[in-house]
Amino acid sequence: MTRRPKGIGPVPFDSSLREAVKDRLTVHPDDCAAFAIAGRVPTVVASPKTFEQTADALQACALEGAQVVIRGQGTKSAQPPAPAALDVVVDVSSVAKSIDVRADDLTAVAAGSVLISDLRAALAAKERFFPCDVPFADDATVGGALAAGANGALAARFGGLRDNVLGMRVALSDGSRAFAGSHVVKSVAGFDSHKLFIGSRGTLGFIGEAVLKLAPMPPDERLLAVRFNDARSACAAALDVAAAPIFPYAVTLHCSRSAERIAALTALTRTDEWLAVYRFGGLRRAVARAIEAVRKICADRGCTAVDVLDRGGMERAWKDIAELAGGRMYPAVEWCAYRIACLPTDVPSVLAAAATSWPMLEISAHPTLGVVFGHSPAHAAVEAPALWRAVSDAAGSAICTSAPPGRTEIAMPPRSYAPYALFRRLKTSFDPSGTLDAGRMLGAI
Amino acid sequence: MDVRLRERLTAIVGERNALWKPGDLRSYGYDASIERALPEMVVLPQDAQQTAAIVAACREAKVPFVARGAGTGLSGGAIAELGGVVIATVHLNRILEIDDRNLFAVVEPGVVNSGLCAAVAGRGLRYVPDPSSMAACTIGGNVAENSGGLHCLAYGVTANHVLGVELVTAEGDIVWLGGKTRENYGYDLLGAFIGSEGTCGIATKICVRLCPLPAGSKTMLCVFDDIDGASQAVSDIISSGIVPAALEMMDKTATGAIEEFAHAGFPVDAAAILIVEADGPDDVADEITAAVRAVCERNGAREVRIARDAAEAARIWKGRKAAFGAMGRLSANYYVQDGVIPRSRLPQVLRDVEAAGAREGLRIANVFHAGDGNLHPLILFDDRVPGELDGALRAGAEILEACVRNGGSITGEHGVGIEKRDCMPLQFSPDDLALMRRVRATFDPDGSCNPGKIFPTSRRCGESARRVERGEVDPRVARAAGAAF
Ligand SMILES: Cc1cc2nc3c(=O)[nH]c(=O)nc-3n(C[C@H](O)[C@H](O)[C@H](O)COP(=O)(O)OP(=O)(O)OC[C@H]3O[C@@H](n4cnc5c(N)ncnc54)[C@H](O)[C@@H]3O)c2cc1C
Repeated sequence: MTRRPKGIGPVPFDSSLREAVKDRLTVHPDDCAAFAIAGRVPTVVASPKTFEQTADALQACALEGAQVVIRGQGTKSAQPPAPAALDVVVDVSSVAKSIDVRADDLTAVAAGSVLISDLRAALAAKERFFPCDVPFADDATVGGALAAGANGALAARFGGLRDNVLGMRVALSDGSRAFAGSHVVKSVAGFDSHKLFIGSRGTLGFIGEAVLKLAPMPPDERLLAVRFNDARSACAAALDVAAAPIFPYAVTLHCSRSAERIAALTALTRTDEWLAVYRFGGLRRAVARAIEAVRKICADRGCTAVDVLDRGGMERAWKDIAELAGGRMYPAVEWCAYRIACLPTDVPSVLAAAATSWPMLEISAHPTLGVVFGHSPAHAAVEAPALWRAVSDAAGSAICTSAPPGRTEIAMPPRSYAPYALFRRLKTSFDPSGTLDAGRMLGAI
Repeated sequence: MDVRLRERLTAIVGERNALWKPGDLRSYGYDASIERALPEMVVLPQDAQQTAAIVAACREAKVPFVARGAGTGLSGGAIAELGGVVIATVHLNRILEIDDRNLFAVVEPGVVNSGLCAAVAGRGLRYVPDPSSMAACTIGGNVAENSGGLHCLAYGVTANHVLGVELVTAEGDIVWLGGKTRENYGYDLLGAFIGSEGTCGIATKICVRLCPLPAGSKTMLCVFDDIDGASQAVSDIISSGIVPAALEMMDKTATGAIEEFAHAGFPVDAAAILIVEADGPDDVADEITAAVRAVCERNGAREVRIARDAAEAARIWKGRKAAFGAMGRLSANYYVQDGVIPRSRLPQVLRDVEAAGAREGLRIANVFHAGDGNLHPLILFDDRVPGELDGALRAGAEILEACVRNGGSITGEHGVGIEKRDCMPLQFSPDDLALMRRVRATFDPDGSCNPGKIFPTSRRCGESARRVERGEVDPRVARAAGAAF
């Protein structure tokens, strides 16, 4: 049963929450303002230092029916809609950060509070990497990235976040703590409950720790930047590549405005051209072969220019490319970011529909995955239903991933055929008091 | 069973597809595990609507129901332990769509794994997860068990290849989890459904990912005089950053039996062999095989042989796939275990496996997915010798304990079902199990969908299986699985 939020003024459960987080409470409105969620300022910010304290804090809030948002570094705090009620932000950024890299097993165990950038550095030191790129990689936490569930372009080769997380330690709002999944690369013991937390936006519980599946750092890596006159040919080439035994790590596509933001590639971009980027990794000969094959396919599809970047160039370019997918390139104060899902073959028509109905849009896409990212300057953002209509004509579905505070009207309407009854039951089962950010999952759950 | 329910179910599927006479039920009372139990009725629906109507009727009558694919499961998942209705997917066997641009196929759950592979191969595509039972097992069973296979090391298990499932929920509603698109918003119920062993509803359509067939492949046989050397080589191959398409290991007990049976060209005097497959055009595969050779030689391999042609490669793989069947040469019965360990622990745990067998005076053959750390010790025993069955069960439980002690799992691909439900507490705390129960309750609040599976009873690990006779895979299943044996 969901209890009504109490709108805690001077925090009626001050003592239990205070005890849970050992006095680390922030209550001054000016200080709390820095922890606003989609424009809504909490009454209290609780900053636990351990997994156990976090679990206790969630439980203390649940017992009072306080509405809680779990916040990592806040990189996704701009995602609409705004919470209908917000009493407590549980700021988990100071929870102890531990990383245990098991390089020989190609796994790592990372606390949810670990920064993605720190994780990457720790893995690189052992010639490993976590093959998922997430937006805001410099600032986001592991737990936040998993809760946001935004898959990057590397999903083409390595699968999404769900395919690369083996287990999790979680805490639920009723104070229960559990490990889900396993520590090994293959296990079918019981339910994969941990996968439910990926993309759950903190509405099911707190991700205290994650067991990650790693990939070996490949001996060779390269990037191929290919220019096309039109998006349709670029998409067709990408699908040809996907259907051939070439296996690039990732393929992205950018309109010229978006391409200009990739510092390492600015010399290669041209107004009104589309830039397709292929990332490769593997043994030296495999990479050379793959580049040769992609060059040929792109030439057959009428590309206008091809450039190859070495590993250094690839790394510089990729840092920007990953952020073009609703990340750092488009800060929420100035931009609205949309993520549109469709079949790969529908990407060209989604691109065309979006561009026609919304000329200011900056567009990137993961064409073989069927994901299109549209970014609009906030002042020019059309209302969501217009974009929704445009893309749903082209068989897409869309969500708004960030918007300036107050622009909540641009949240997308949910798909009518999602299993909402099961979603609701899951929410009730995991968060019986309904205190974890109620109403902000798809379908107002 | 209540006559009214029987009549209602018969009306839904028609006389020919409703079985309830004891003689008709018998072949639904087993799977490839050692468990046995007869259902009260078997129904064979033609589509999702009929399936939904069956489920709704069972639910109203408070009668449990169990989905069944080909019955090749190794943990008793398809056994109607508490009676009730078996819903068999034999007629749900159509491939509905193959989209070679968007790289997916939509199939009904009763489609046989190798049938799907054959249907897409002509387009240069494949459905990757390839359990050894692929000639018989169904995609529905694969999804329910999250099955693995020889090529899952590089390309992932079933969960990594399923985009969506049309589900008849435990309440008889028809919904989609996921879909044809790679991105779906909302909770990832699909992720939790895959591997739920038939306890979360019945899949009536499955949208799977297809991948391009590799441009070529090379098969290597690496021969070791010392089992530690072979297991260290596996560990080193993985940690050196090479991820071959397949990396399998067998010990001397296994190769000896296989060689007599399948004439695969395995050296019978070697302590262990590794079979490695490298994918890619010739020069790329050569680069991989050269790297693997270097690691093996560093670890004392006495011979590294690369199959000269497709026929030699096929012979090697045929030997690997014949492993379970060949065990009949060594012993009257065998008990296959399925534990997983972190790959760096391989040398240590293989010693533990040997010690577990020695303590019981039983031989153990090892044939397994070494690259994933997925062990399949085959514990050899003779049911007619008093005490040997108990010894095999004790050795099995000890091996699972060793897996968990080393940070691993009690099952890598065969599932928990009935067989391992009482081993779950080895790996999971009561709180961990409580979280799983919440997932179960989300999908099936009344607990009528395949009840009794996965969650522990009050018995100890290894005890569940004592009630029934333990032995080899049922010969009918063996025949159906064809090449796998
Ligand atoms: C010789 C041999 C070799 C094997 N090799 C492997 C291997 O290499 N890798 C591996 O992973 N497994 C292997 N197995 C195990 C087995 O083949 C797999 O678990 C397979 O996926 C089971 O498929 P099935 O169609 O036979 O399912 P069944 O045995 O009929 O059922 C298995 C489970 O799936 C559920 N189920 C079936 N259909 C549905 C549906 N439509 N919706 C919901 N639930 C459903 C059932 O209720 C049951 O719980 C092997 C088995 C044998 C006998």
